[in-house]
Amino acid sequence: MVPSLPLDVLVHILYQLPPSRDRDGEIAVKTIVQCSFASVLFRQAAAIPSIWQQHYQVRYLHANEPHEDQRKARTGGHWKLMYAERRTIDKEVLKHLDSIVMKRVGRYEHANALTKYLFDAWDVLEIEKGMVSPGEYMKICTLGESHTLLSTKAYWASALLTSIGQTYVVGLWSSLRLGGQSVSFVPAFSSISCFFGKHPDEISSMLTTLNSRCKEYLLRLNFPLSESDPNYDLKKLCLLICDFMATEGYGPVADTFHDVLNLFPHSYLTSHKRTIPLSLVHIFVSIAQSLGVASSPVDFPVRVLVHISVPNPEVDDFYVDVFGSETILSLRDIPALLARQGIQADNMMHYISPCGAASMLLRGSRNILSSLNIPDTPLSLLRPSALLALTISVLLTGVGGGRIVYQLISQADPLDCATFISEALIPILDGTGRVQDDLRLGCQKTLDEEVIIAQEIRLRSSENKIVQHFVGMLFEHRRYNYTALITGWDVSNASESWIREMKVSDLPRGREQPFYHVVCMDSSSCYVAEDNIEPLLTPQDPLLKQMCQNIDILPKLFTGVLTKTTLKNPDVQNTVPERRARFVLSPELSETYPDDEIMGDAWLTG
Amino acid sequence: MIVLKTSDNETFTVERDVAERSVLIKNMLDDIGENSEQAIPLPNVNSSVLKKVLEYCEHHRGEPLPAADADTSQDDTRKRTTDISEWDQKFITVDQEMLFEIILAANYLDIKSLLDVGCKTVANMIKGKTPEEIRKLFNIVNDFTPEEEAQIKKENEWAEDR
Repeated sequence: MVPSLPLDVLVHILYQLPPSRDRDGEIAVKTIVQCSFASVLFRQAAAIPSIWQQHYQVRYLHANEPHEDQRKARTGGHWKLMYAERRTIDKEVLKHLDSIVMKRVGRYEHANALTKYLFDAWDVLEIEKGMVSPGEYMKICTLGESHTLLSTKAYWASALLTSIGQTYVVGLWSSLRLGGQSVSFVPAFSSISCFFGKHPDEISSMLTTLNSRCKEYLLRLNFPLSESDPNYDLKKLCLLICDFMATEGYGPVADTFHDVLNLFPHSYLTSHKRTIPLSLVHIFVSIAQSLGVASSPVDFPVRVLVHISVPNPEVDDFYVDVFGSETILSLRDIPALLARQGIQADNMMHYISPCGAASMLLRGSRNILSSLNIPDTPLSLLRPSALLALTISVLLTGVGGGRIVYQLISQADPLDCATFISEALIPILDGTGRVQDDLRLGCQKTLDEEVIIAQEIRLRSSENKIVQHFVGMLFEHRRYNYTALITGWDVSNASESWIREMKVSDLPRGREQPFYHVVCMDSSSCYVAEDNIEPLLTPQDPLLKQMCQNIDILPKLFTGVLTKTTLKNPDVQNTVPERRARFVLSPELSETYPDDEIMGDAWLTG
Repeated sequence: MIVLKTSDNETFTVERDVAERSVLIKNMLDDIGENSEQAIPLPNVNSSVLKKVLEYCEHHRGEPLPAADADTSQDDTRKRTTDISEWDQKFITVDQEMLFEIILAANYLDIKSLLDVGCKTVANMIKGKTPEEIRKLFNIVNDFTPEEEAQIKKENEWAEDR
């Protein structure tokens, strides 16, 4: 006879189902729920709040703060009820995500609705994104095996995390418009990384860690940190902060000054510690403020300085040049520095007054735009960087005029238009007249065009029968020899100017042939005439893997790679087996090209 | 040496540090003082279970005991996710009746690490099970009224599959 277990033991058993953000955590929660249905005693055990507290705190690291407060109030802080509410939101978010993945029609309405959950949707999207490890976005399978949609889902989860971050940060920065100062320099600047899918907490916790390490560093040196200490020395303190930053690896960049990564907190705090003055000033001010030093950036020509306000009215304020060799500057040193830039000393105050977050963001925005003209910038960074810089510009000047709005719209994709631009940016621009109108019209145009494209279906009947190749096929360009992947085709869409420029008439079939949309190894897209396409019969794994790594939009378009190995001449001895490979269409591409999947399979078998 | 007396009136003579793996026994010994010859009665544990429990205590003698009233907070969560050690795994591979008896004894004798091992084992057994399977495993009946059942269903709607 199995003895019956008392309540406290049952509770203890349920405690042993550990919380986690993966599949096991999911099973643990399910099991606890199933226990509620077993018996009265089990139900009692499964309702113990502390069991749910641990599951809540492991799964939900982020929240839309005002909503979280309401949730706490509504549920009386009961962890199981809170957990249930969050899971209900997760379900809604996942429903939207599924629709976004599965259908291009209506996609951006779902994206718009999803983004409105803001940080309440963050954790579930992060979990979906984490379902595939970044290194192995795409799997290579043999014909007959099937791919999951995990990579495509992870792609969209990641894109939507960025949209949520962008929506949040545009809201945050909007309070800086028209001279507003309600957000200070350090958090406003940290939030730049929201444009790259980072949660603001991620950057602020990196800075907080740095702040406390610096404090430990100073304590080890027995440096007095209290102003009331007779040995307290503000200038010395600032020098020591610079020394500390140097020991941590932060310092002036030498030859890669224009690398755009020098401008993004998530990179200059980690991989690009040798960086530009503005970024060093961000770190310095964060540390100095945490030590109670009244410091602010100064929008000085050539490079950003830090203004230190001295509490003693009899002592002059001074400046810190975090980037330079002569770190501490007094007011007397300034005219000479300005003169070197050809600036008259009577204009001096204009350049050396402490400034707020807005001028620094605008300075960052200008730096980004000039960095983007440098040819080495990777394509994957170009669009988000430009979008960031232009958003800051439109948001904080508001008078950017037609040109900036036009540039912004040309960089924005339908997801940007459907989320942060229409939900956050446009409403904030009330009162700017044309800027707001132009942006609204541009956004609408992008979304309208997307609606039309989304509905297109290309069947392989009638006039399309002449199309020889299929979406997902790799090829080499006959004239230019580069390798690329077909992502779409049409029979007569090439513009006259393109036909002339590309000398299409010189090709054997001239303009009367199918044309292909393709994506190249460096993520760029091209348009290629069929005559120039030489199918790649046996692409090797390194090439396939390199494609999967280099082309960031690949999981949006394809779910993985299929291969099929055949012996070409089985009768001949020592014949080399041929392995063909093709990319498998994502739901969005299969919808547009419903016949290409079958054609691809037929091609694999040779 | 300490003498322990089980519910079926068997006595076990063990070394003090082995017996003191049980917080219950340790507290009793602290109360009655060093030199008592008296057997300690354990009316809730029978001899076959105690034998097994003492085997566990013997193996783990000398290991630090968890601090009294250890907070079930963050690092406890960490510990819980770690696996059962190989020896413990082998030790706890017993029939279900014995498993439950060991858990009850560990709970009564207050041997936290043994209780954890036992409960972890049961937790692994119920993972992914249906309510009916859970009832069978624990030898219990569905004692809900239809109203209660409807209520529970409503409370847990959020957990249903999409």
